[in-house]
Amino acid sequence: MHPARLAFVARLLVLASVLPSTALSQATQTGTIRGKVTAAGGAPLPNVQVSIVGTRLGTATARDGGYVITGAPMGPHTLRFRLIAYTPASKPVTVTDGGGVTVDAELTAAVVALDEVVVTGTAGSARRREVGNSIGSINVADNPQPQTDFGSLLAGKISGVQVSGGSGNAGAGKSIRLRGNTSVALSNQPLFYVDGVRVRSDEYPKNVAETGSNLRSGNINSSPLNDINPDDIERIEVVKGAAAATLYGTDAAAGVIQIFTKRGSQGAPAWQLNLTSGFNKLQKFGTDAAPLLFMEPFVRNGQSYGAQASVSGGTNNNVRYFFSSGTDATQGVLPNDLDRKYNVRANFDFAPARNLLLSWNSSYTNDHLDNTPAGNNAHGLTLNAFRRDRNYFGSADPDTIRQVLAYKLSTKIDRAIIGLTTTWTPLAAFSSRATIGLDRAGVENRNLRPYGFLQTLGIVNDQRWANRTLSIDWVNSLTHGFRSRGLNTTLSFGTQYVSSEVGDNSSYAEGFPGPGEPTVSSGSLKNAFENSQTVITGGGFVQGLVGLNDRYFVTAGLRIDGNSAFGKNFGLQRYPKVSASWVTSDEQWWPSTFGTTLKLRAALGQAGRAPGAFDAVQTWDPVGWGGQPAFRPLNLGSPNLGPERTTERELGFDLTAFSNRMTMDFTAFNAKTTDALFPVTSIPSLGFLNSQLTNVGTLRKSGIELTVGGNLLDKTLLGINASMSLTTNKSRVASLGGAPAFQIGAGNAFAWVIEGQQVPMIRGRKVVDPNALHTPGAPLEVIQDYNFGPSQPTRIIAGNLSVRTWRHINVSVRGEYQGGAFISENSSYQALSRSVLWPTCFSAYDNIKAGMPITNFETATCIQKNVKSDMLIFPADFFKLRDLTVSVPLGKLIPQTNSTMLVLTAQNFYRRNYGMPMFDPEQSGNDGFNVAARYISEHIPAPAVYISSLRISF
Amino acid sequence: MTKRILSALASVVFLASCDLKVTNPGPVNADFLDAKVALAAVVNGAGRDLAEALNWTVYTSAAESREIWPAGSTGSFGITVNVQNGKLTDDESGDQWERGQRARWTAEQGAARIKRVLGDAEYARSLQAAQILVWAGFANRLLGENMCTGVIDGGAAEESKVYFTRAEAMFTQAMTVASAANNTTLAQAAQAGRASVRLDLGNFSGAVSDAGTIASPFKYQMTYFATEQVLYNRIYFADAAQPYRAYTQKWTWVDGYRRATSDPRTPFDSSAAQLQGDGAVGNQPDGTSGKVRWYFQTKYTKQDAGINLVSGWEMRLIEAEAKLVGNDIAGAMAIINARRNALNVPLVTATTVDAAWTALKRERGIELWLEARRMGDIRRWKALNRPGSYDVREDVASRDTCFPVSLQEKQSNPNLRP
Repeated sequence: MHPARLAFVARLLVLASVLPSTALSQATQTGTIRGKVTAAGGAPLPNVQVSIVGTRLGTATARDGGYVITGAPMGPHTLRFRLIAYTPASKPVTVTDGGGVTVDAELTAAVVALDEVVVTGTAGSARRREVGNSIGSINVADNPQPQTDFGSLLAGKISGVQVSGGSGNAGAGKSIRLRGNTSVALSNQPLFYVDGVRVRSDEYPKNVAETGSNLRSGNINSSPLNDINPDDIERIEVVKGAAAATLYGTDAAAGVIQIFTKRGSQGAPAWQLNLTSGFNKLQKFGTDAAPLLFMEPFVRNGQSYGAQASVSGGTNNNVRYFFSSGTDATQGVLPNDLDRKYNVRANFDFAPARNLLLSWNSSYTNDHLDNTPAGNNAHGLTLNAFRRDRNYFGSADPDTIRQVLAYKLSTKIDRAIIGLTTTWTPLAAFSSRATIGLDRAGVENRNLRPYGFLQTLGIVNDQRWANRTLSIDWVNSLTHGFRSRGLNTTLSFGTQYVSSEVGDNSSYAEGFPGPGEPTVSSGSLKNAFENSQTVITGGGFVQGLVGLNDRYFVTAGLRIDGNSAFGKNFGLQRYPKVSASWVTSDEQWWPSTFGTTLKLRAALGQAGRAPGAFDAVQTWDPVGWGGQPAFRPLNLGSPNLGPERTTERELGFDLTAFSNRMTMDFTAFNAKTTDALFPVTSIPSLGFLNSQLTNVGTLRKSGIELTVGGNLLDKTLLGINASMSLTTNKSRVASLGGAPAFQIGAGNAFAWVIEGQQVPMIRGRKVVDPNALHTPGAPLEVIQDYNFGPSQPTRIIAGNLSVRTWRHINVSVRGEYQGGAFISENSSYQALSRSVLWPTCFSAYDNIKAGMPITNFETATCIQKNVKSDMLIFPADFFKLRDLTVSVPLGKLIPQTNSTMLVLTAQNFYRRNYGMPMFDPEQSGNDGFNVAARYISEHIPAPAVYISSLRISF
Repeated sequence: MTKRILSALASVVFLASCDLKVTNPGPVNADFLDAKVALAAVVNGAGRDLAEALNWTVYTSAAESREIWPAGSTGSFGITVNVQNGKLTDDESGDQWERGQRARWTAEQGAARIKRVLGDAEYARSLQAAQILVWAGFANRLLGENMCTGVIDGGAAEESKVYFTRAEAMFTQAMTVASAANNTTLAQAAQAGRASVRLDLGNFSGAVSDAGTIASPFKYQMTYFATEQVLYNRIYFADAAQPYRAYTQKWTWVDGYRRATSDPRTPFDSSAAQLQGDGAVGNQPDGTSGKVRWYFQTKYTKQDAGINLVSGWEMRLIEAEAKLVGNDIAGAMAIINARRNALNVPLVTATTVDAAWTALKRERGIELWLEARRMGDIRRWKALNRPGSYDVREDVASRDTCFPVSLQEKQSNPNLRP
């Protein structure tokens, strides 16, 4: 460990030891409180936090809902019962000396309960009523759908959250955007935490040879989020922007997502077995005449099998545990694609003393991916199939094209996430929580074209890549109440430290002496490469919360950050925030009619996004030249480089009506990013060709998020729940700081950053009056540099309908519409510019042959000499059925079990495009899922997934 | 209690101010290069930059001047539709302009760095200085012969002649330093390079004087390497059988000329296994669009084949051109035919000025084929209204002869903004 980090840890430990432990004087006269907590209807509720108000005494309920609190002081008390997603309850109790008293409680489920406890974006934890910003949450454990990956968990479920990307290659990741893009130069993937541990969310490296074309690969990036076993997840919290993410500081402008995994409950071991089987099927993405774009001879229905087992429980009232283990094997629809995944998890909670809780979280995932070469890859299957007889073989014969399947791409991922959280409560009014976590991801990418591959001597590249993120998070909260005035205050303060090390070693060889499985050592020519970089962020925060009469709340906070990537002229950065909430429905004048609750909220806050490790320094690249050392200009550098800073305002309300049967939450946001980091083009005649990140621009975005849900019918034989959400997002480049408009991302995406336009704008050639018939010989009217629209959707509408029928058989359906975005469809351009007979032009070819006129657009695209790469830009609007799920409770059908549930689900099995004739507007291009602007390349879309799942509890 | 809270708050501040400094390996701080031990890498870096600039310019200029005919993809190693149509546009000239400018800058700045580190006296006899000055000279010549506009170090636009002026100065300095360093090869390369730029500058006497010191077999090449794809000879790799067959000699003047003469300076071959290029091409001379018969050049037959920067035979053609400028047709043709005779290639005859210039233009096209020289020659001859004609397949009248200032330079250089 780096000495600076060791010193930091040492300081933390010393600090913890010098805070003196305050042993509370034990009441000499005590009693015992016991009871059972159930949900409405009588189902036992485990893990309910039961506490005696005004003391540090409390416990959590066991799986049967039961609890016991010993040592309760004699006299009258109030018992508080709290469980996430349930409305808290309080009950009076009087303890007698040495006696026992029973207090049972029933909690009511609430979609948005004002007293639900949330922790993301807050210092420590807070009740929703105290929080002035919106926080999205999903109780994953309540969803019956089997989840194939983390992205599917989020898609269409929380307003303001957009999940997109993916391709038909096994293991392809998906991008997650909270309120669209925040930056044009840096990653827009939110920060991720798992049980308080910072984890990597940006993509894994592509499996590509270090030398040669960047396209010689499977052309996908897998995602670290796919390593998190969806079956282990209990709950997810999402804070979507700077107003809520201020306490995370320099890296948090794109929002924060926190994952909470399952934990044990007091009681005997409870086992859960989940068996899944299913298949993936490629859906039509071409035209009626060529539904799979000539891929029919190559694709298959990929089979999938999985088994997950878990056990949880608790002993001695101070130890709780959750273990899980599982395996999945999923064939892709492409012939070489196979994803085998193994995972284990062990979570422990141990309370060695009344005022101390230790929580240990650990998980390990091993993922082995085999991929088919695809994408814009001259040795790829998809490209050569799409281009028919104009491909790199000059042949559309499937057997000829299948030669590329000898190209072996394999990826092995080892991922371990461990964390230890100590929660120390020396006083009822003071708590201190420290989390130390490590996320370690190791990837081996092996890229092999064997001896004899397409008459060559073969090439192999082996990359060993690793990312280690060490995070330390320390939060202290001190509460104080002035009962006579109805005033409660909480002062929180703490520090965070995140060190992220990324590096890889790659070895490359070509020219093998003969057949057989080669190593890099087998090659006649060998190269080696190494990259390594570390970025450290350290900061502290202080936050004050003042609440009056438990309905007026004001929070103010300040985060101060330093970062190793800042320029040498740049010091610590300060990010302030302030928020307020008003539980209007708690006012005496609020009518009690319809059981309505209302909270109004407002928040204003800042967060940042730091530049990369080398951006601030002028550097030269040691590149070598044929065995000799060589330097060349790399990065111009800027001593004034700092983070971009996003200031966000939020206004909104949370409303429930009809005794929580209807919920509505609404948020309007407006964000401004100043000192936006733009890749300012260097002057080539001054030697440095790479663009230099510079804090010059100003970006704006605004939108609304509305979610309405309700229990429409709740009868014994029929229950109907429905919800709908609407998200809008409009972005604008307010200033380029004098820089000219510039292109970002891949050239084929045609994504531009233009002053006054949305971020980024898709710009290209527009064929005027595209559907009108073209007069032969007349010039084709085309508008160059036409601004089509943004690359990100401006409106997302999602809906969910769930129907409970006879024997609690449940049918749910979830759909999502995204609109307003545009995308470059480069795959068609690549084919049409090579005179490939292309499905979108079949009717035009017939008309030309018959001497009939064709349209302007057909003239532009179906006649090879006319087609231009920036002409095939289409609206990316689409509707998808995300899932249709039937869950059938089978009770104790299987002997010796508590219950069994059969779940059948179909995911992404229906899509309708509004404007783009082929492909899936959501799919990734050659640059993976996490780019500023995607484009369509020679990929197939992510397939539909059909899964059956049998969940057995015993 | 208050003490505890205060101590905790103090710790927050203490922890927040902990050292966040990180030194990452890999890229090197610019200051580190001002050391003797780093100079070899600085020189090699300038060489690599020139190799890359030449690589990209050779290929695209060959397509533009019809030394090759497109036969494959428009992306990666392909030839863009604009270039297929003879147009060099600012949005597609970045690879040539920017790499050329970087090669010039790194070499010129490298020479200044060497002088700063070594001091004047040591610099004046430094082999490293001689080498980087040679790179600087050829980088300037590459820009002068292929770029329409002169731009130096973020300055305003000027005539492209400025590159030749700088090249002449660099070569002159290189000759002196290389001689002092007792390196004859570098001294000759510099003098031959100076001859070629003096021809570009119209200084025929100076060019002939320099050329006369260079023996015909002399050649000075840019080296390429098979160790990394970016170091491959690009014009070879773009036409290698796997995966690209991006261009062909079909439809070029080379096709007929080579068949008629078997001139070893313009070799190409065909493959029974791969009859066609890897993509479809429109507007072919026979009026068709589609796949093109694949005839692949064999001047460069491997990934690490070197490309001539200058040669003695080029010197002879400088002398021949100077004779033509002086209306000495017989003298010029004698020089041309001496080379052809040695190669056992049919001799050419010319009795008129027009025919002699036609022969000279063809001969330079043959001698300097696929060396990024053709566009510069055509532009020079056009500017001076030299008599003679070109092969109709070169389509000289309608095709561009130089790369414009790249879009990146236009957008970033404040002296170029309107």
